[in-house]
Amino acid sequence: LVNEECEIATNGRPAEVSSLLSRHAIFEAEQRAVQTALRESEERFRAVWEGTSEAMALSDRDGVVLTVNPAYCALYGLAPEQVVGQSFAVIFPDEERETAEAQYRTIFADPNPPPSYEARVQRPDGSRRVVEAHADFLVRDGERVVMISAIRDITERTQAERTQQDFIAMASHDLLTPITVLRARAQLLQRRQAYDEASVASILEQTTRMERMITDLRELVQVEGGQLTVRAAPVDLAHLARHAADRVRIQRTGHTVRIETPTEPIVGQWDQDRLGQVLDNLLSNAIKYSLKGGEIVVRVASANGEARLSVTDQGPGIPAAVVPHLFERFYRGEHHVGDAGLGLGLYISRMLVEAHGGRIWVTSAPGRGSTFTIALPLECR
Amino acid sequence: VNQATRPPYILVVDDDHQLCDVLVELLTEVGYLVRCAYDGEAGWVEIQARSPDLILSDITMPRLDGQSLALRLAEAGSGIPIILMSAGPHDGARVHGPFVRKPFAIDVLLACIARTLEETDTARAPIPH
Repeated sequence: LVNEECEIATNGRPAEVSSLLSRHAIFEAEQRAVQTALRESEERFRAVWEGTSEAMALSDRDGVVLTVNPAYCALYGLAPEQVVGQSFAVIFPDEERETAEAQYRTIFADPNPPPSYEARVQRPDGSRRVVEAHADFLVRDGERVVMISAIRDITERTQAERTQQDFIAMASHDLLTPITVLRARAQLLQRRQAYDEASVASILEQTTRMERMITDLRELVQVEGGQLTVRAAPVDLAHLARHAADRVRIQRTGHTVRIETPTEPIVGQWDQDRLGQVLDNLLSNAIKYSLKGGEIVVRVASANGEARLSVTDQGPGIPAAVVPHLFERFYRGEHHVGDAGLGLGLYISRMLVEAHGGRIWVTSAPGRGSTFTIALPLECR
Repeated sequence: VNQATRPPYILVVDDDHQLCDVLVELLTEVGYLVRCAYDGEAGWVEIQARSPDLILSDITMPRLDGQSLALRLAEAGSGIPIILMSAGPHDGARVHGPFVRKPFAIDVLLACIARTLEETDTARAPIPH
């Protein structure tokens, strides 16, 4: 278009200032368009560079940092001026910088660098993080000139993976425990070539133990996978408590269960089976941890729009340091006993109570027993 | 007590009471004298009270685990043999000395006990209090 305009301008007609002006105007307009396009493009890239949660850095062949994005600064707790112009290795603990720089040179020269690599880095406050980095390169005239590093903080993920692995190891270990007893019992019967009621009862007890663990695992998957459904219907909490106490009495554990309920029913919109499960768990804990028998008290009451149910035992109590962790996933105290389940009961109970919009907590003093309480809203949520 | 005139005395240490029960029944029927303790510390108290000829101990236990119990025995200069048991997948590799993986075949366990007793030097130093 510009050329055509030039043609027109030089073809004969008296020197036309207006034509020249229009040529200039077109040229300027085009330049403006190019600049706008450039600015828009840069704005887009800047938005990505600044907005991404991925920490990014550009560094040259020698490992000197050319530029970093805000996510990078946030990840390492550094201001841009503390990094730019410096060796990228400032993010490593002192003793590891040399190794990191050597690795950097290897990756820079490697025609097929690994798609990603893990590193342990240190922030100025001394905290250490595990990061995963992907390296890419800017190539000019067939030569790598800049490394583009995209870095992700995987500290939490690594920790979660480790917790998961530990849990699986622990769960499989615990599932093998009843199997050990069961197998030994069966082999002993075989060896004796004689039936005896006590051995069979012990074998059956082991299968119950295993069933409980497997049920807990299934519950855990439901709770974690967000598949927990609460089928709300009118439920009388006092009635529920009496039923749970009956289930304990059948077991003949040597404990007495006393129920304290008001005369009028305490009815809310709850899931009867789920709450029954929570109650069973609290009662079985009360039995398990008060080895010498004794009284277990279940109290049901309502106040301030809430229904409350508590289970009090005469066990050894819970050390103060343990209390805050008791309802955590995979938490297992020092006092875990060999015959216990997977240690998921209280975590699952908490999730079930919270699914009802309620709360669960414990008050305990060493030597003076423990009281586990659940509070449930009386009004439909 | 003359070692030759009484059956060997085995101390079983495991926090699973039900496994202790079945092991006590089995080992008694085979002809051993048996007692049990439910954790490493309780086991140590038993050992000091009455020195066993062999200890059969679980690894993972509250208060004091099986490996620490074995270490404490070694440090005390005791020659009492200890067979460690565990359901942990890697525990066998970490144990120096006799090891039985749970769940076990009782014949394998009995053979391990018999062999360990045979191999043990009967002249042992007493356990210091």
